[in-house]
Amino acid sequence: MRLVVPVLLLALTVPLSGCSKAPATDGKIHLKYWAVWNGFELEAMRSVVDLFNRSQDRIHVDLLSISFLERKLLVATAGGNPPDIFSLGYEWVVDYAQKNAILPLDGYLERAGIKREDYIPVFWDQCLFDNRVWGLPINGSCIAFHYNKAHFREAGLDPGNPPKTLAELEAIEPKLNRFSGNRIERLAFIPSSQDPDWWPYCWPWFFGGELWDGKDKLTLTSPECVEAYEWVASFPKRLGAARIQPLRASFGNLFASSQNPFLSGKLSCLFQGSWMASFVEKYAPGLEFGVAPMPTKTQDLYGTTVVEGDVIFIPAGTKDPDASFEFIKFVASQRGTELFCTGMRSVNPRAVRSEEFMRNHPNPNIEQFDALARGDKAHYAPKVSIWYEMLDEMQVVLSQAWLHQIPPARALAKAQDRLQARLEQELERWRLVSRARHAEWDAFIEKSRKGVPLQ
Amino acid sequence: MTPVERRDLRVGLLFISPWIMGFGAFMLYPLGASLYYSLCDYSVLSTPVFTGLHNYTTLARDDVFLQALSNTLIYGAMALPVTMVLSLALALLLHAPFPGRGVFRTVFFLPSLVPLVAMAILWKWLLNVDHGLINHFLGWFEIPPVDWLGSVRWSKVSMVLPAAWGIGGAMVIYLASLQDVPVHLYEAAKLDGASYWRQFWHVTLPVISPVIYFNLIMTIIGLLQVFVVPYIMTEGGPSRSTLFYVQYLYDTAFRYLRMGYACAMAWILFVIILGLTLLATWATAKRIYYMAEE
Repeated sequence: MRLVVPVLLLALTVPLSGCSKAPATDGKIHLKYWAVWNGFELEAMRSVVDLFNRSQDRIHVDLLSISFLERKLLVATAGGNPPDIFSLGYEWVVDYAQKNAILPLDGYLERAGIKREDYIPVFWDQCLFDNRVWGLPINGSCIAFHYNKAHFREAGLDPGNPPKTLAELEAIEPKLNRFSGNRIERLAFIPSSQDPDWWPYCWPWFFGGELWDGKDKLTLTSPECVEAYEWVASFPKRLGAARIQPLRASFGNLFASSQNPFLSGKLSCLFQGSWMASFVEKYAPGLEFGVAPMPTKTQDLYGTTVVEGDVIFIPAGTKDPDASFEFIKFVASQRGTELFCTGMRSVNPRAVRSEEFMRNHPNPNIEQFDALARGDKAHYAPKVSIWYEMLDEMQVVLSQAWLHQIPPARALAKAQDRLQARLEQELERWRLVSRARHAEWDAFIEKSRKGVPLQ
Repeated sequence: MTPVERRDLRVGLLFISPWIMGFGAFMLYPLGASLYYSLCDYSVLSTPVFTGLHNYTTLARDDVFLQALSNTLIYGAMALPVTMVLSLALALLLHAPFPGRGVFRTVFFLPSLVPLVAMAILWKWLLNVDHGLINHFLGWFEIPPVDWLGSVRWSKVSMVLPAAWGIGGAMVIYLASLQDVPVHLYEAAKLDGASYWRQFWHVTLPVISPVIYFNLIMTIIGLLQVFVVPYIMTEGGPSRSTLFYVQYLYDTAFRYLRMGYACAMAWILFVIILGLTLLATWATAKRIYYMAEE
């Protein structure tokens, strides 16, 4: 009996002991870096991390590949044990900043002399919210029109001169499409290549439309937006919904395989990201493809693209943000970013890139992607805290248009009503808390600018 | 209470104290916290702000919530009879004596051992329009390919198929209960000239009725909480036709960072399940026969 209590207490401490952190024995500051990548992408970052770890002996960064990072970050932050650094897409900036999950970098950037001019504007702007910088862009990608050159040649088209307008794209369709009875042998292009789509919201940009006014109003019911989704709906109508749906559906399971319709030659043109080159190399090495801007409604819009970037952040609640920024500074340096972007086969978000970077870049079409990102028609997701609700809603709009469930104008009106109401709710909430947040942020920026130890 | 009883109680409590603490920390506290958060504006990342019943009143006007709820009820109404009848029918077949019975029992139980994620991926392939086995078989009968996962018409049906495939658990419970039906009841029925069907109706069914009731309740709960399979197969698409209750709850909590709102949804689901369970209990109360009561 006398032994029972100590034994039970001991038993209870066993599971709890796992929570305490073992102190580092090498005297270095150890930082946990969470990233979503795996495979060659993770290796690309690992090479940067290794270089950093070797470059000095004060800080050691441990890179971890975390699936569903955004969800685990939520739990880890709430539990008071966030990583020291993490990378995610730029789409999270607003939500995380508003909810105090990340730290503003302005003070550090000023001290390190990193400015907007150091970056291609679109990538820098992705990291801004409320006039503060929340992370640094470390790699970029553009979405562009990929086309099969052999198909073009075979159809009597000039592979050096892909269509520039949507009318031209439609005009070459009959030359590329091949049907045998009710089956597709080859299709020129479809604007929805999987469900869920990756960019169900992108089409208005190619019609000169916008998704919002840049402040507090969504503009989904504008004539350009309606026209864009009517264009989407015209494909199943023109080509036969039952006939082309299987091709669209097959993308879902098969994107990363040799059965991917573009890689297997069933689809001649595809709207995809700069990473497509890696898939071609892996699954269809013989495929001869070209990259060009996506055709647009009118000539003046030609060059429109969707730009995405990965951003490196310091989560709020981390113990040593100074040390975290040391690492971020290294990754964001020309050497760090170029090493990473070469490994990622992606666009370098920095304004200046070395000749060597462009020459040795493994992506054969890097020049085009680079030019697209630097162009003045680069678009990205609206900076609203309800972005993921908006993304899901736009997916519904696209599906409804594609499946001809309801007319696109009505689908957009429904989405507009729902999202605008949500946006206003969020803006109202933000009005209530923003003053307190601003005070916290500015205090941190001030501290980090001066370099006062932040322990 | 005598001193001995009091000591026994103390020792007993001490022995179960780790479980009491575990229950408190991992069940009771989260339950209470989620009830409180359901009355708050809460994103996990920032401190909760009490907003009263605001989440609940907003939910009543949330079209997507209502769609997810109706999707779930429709799915439940389709899958419940299918799984209930199928699992009992299979159990009856596998209860009958025939050579290789053990092998068949194993084979039919096996699918329920497949992890849900693997099962979802498997069915995603089986139901693929172009490359799926199911459309391939339909092709033998000159039936044109069905767009199982890509059309609003078929997407919910496609979710019932994996549910029907995973009935092994319920089947085994039925099998066990069938073996429990006293033989003398069958013998008496046979002497009275009862056919197989009459024996089933008047002997088997009443005796196993508590088990049917148990399976009914568990199936209702399981179906209303369906999540993994549709989440992986369609992510709620096309155009939210397979967006089920728990997926919307999950997205709301972890994708839209609206934990308070999601907690309110969780409590509403709890009330719905409780209501349906009580309804099922009330509806079957007079039809369940517990032998032990005699």
